[in-house]
Formats: sequence, C-alpha cells, structure tokens
Amino acid sequence: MSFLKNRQIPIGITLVVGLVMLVNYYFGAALPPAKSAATLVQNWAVIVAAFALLIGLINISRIHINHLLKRTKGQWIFSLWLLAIMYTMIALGLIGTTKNPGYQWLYNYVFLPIDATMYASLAFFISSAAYRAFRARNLESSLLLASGVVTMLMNAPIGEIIWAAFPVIGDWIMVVPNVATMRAIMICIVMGSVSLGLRTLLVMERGYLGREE
Amino acid sequence: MALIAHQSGLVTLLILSGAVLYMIQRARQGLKSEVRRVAGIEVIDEAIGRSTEMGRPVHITNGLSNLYSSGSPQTIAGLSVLSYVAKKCAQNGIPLITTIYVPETIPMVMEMYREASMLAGNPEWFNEYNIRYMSSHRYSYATGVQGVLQREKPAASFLMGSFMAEALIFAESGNIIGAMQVAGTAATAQVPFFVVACDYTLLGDELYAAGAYLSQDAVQMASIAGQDVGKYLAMILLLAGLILSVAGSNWLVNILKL
Repeated sequence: MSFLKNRQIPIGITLVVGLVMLVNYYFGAALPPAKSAATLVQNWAVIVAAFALLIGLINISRIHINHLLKRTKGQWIFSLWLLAIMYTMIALGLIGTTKNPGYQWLYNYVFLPIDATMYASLAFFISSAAYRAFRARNLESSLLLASGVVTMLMNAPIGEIIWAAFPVIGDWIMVVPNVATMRAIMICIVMGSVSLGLRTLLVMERGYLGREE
Repeated sequence: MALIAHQSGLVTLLILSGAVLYMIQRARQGLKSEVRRVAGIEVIDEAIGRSTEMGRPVHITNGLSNLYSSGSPQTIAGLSVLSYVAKKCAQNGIPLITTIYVPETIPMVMEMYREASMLAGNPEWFNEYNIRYMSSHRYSYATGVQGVLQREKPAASFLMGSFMAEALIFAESGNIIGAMQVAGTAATAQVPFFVVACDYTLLGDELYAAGAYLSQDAVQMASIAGQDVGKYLAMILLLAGLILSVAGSNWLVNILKL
C-alpha cells in the first residue's frame, strides 16, 4: 500500500502542524511551549525542503538520462548540455564551495547573463500582451486603454510636457481606483485562505493528497 | 506585553470560522447553500476535452511557493486542482505534463498520478517522466516551462499557484502555441497579466475555492458560502470605517489595530 493511500498519516501531520502554528501566532507570548514547538516545526520544514532538493536532482537526472539513452529527437543534445553543466557546477561547488574560481566564473559569466536575458525577455511579452489587452473592442477594454495610456504618459517624461495634468490624473488612477480594486481582491483572498485553512484543519479539503473517488 | 497577539485578527478569524462552520453544519443537515458559478473552474473539463480531441498533452504548473511560507495555501489549492486534472487526464488517456519549482511537491504529484491512473483503471497512463522538476531558481524554472510549452505544444495549460514575474512568460508562451489557458493566483500583481494572456483566470479567493468546487461535495461547497458571509462583514466594516473617518473618529481604526 502506498504511503499517501494511508491518508491518516499525512492528514494527522497537517492537523497537528496547522494547530501548532495557529496557537503560536496568537498565544505564542503566553505559551512558550507553543513558540518552541512552532520554531521546531519550521526548522523541520527547512530540513525536509533541503532533502527534497535531492529528489529534484534525481528527477532531473532520470528524465534527461532517459532522453540521452533514447536519443530523443530535438531534445537529447539539450539534455546532454544540461547534465554536463549541472554536474560540473555541483562538482566545482563541492570541491571548493561557491568561492571556487571555476564555479564563480560559470555563475558570473554564464548563469547570470542568461538569467538577466530571461528577465529582459519580459519586455517583449509585456508588449505583445499589452497589444491584445489595449485593443478598444468594448467599453471595458476602452477604459483599460485610456487608463493605460494615461499611466504610461505619467511615467514617461514627455507626458508632463504634452499636458501638465497627465501626472496628476495618472497618480489618481494608481492611488484611488487601482488601490481600491487591489484591496478588494486582497480582502477576498483573506476570506478564501481562512476558508481553505478551516477545510484543511477539518480534514474536508483532501484534494492536495489526490482524489479518492 | 499582551498575552494574546493580533487580538482583532483573532476575533475576525473566530467570526469568519463561525460563519464557515455554520454553513457547513447547514449543509450537513441537508440545506443546500447557493454558490455562484466560477467560469474558470467550470471550463477545466472543457480544456481537457479539447486536448483529448486534439491528441495533445495537458500542462500544469503550481508556481513558486513552497509548503511552509505565506504563499503555501496557493500551492495547496493548486495541487488540489492538479489532482482533479490528473484524474480527468487519466480517464481520457491523455498525457499530463507537470512542471515543478518546489521539489517537496514531487512525491505528492507522483502519488496523485499513481492514484489517478489506478482510479481510471488505466495503469499505463502513469509516466513518471511527465513529472518534471525544472529548478528552484525562478528564471531557470521559467526557461524550462517555456521550453516544455514550445516543444510539446500542450492544447491546455493550467497555471495554478503563486507566481511572480515569470507569470507572463508562461501565459504568453501558452498563448503563442494556441493552448487554452486557465490561470489562478492570489498574487495580486500577477492577476492583470493572467487576465490579459489567459482564456480564464481565477481571481484570488476563487483559486482557494477551486478544490471544494471541483469536489462537488455539498459540505465543502457550503464553506465557500461561509466565506461570502465574511465578505459581507468586510463590506460593513468598510462602510462603518468610512462613516466614522468622515465624522473624525478613529475608534474603529484603533480597534482593528489591536
């Protein structure tokens, strides 16, 4: 029988941990044992997460070794590259910690530029998404277009030169309707998370353990 | 020092919990609560059906939050959707690709796959190579997911959980390949990106309600009705705060600060 099929164990752990954290949040000052239990549970979580990284390493290795063995078309060469770089980084890190010059070189001159490139690619995605969003098809999208243009001109130096009121209107859009909407969503999120927390503590929400029927 | 911290929060929590528990009790007595329809949840079956017809895989990812931070409820809610999607995909016999950022969810996802394949009477459906840990670094994860979307061209993509800047990379990549996309997040900064680039978006609390909604269990659905009572309470507090502030009183603000 699989571990999670015996649901009592994970459900019991969820229940105990949830109650410990809840009691600590409100009564931690009055109940020192609750505080130390919560700290202990948090430390365990960090340790379990660190071990889980090893599961991730095994998962990645198995998938890409499989691609290599099968010579998956359009994939195996990337799998080879991924495994080579990943294990080189691990080996360099283990040999001389992250201060190892080889590790530092790979991190600074390979990883960071690629990372920055991915972040920069967001500019293009924002442009294409904005193009679709800002087409004036109906009243709502027209309002979105108008407020988008005003807030853009608020941020661009040329906006104030065109019309001095752009920064004032843009600021109002950001501070009044934008904040009001965001707060409404935040309030609903809090209600939703309380409800989800209760369902989890009452053992009603079990979907995260798989579907039983 | 106060022995009970966040007193106003505790009172609010107790009131909300009372409302949810009351609705649950009503449902147990057979009284059905009205829950509004959420299009983003109802369309999940349609998206999987579309993938089945097109003979293309389904993709799902649960975002960045681990299981012990403030964003963990989003991951829990996302996993709940995942288990439902896995069940449906196993029944239809189409591959489900799960891309992962949080390694501690790998065993949970694996078990969901195994259970889904068993329940569907389709053990061959379980393929551990479809459960893919990408990275625990944000942009490496984004690159990996983007690669999966571009290479394997799923017909449906579900983005359920806590996301940051990579949200738009996923949503736009899915849009480019023509995947039907359903996203859900409580990360308010990413909601606009999902609304723009995805076909359906679960806004904030709708993601948390998804697990209960998908179960179609009357008692769980009642808890959603209970949270609506909390929304009414919030509206009353907002209105009272507005009136008192205009009248020059900070009484309510000071009470809520306790």
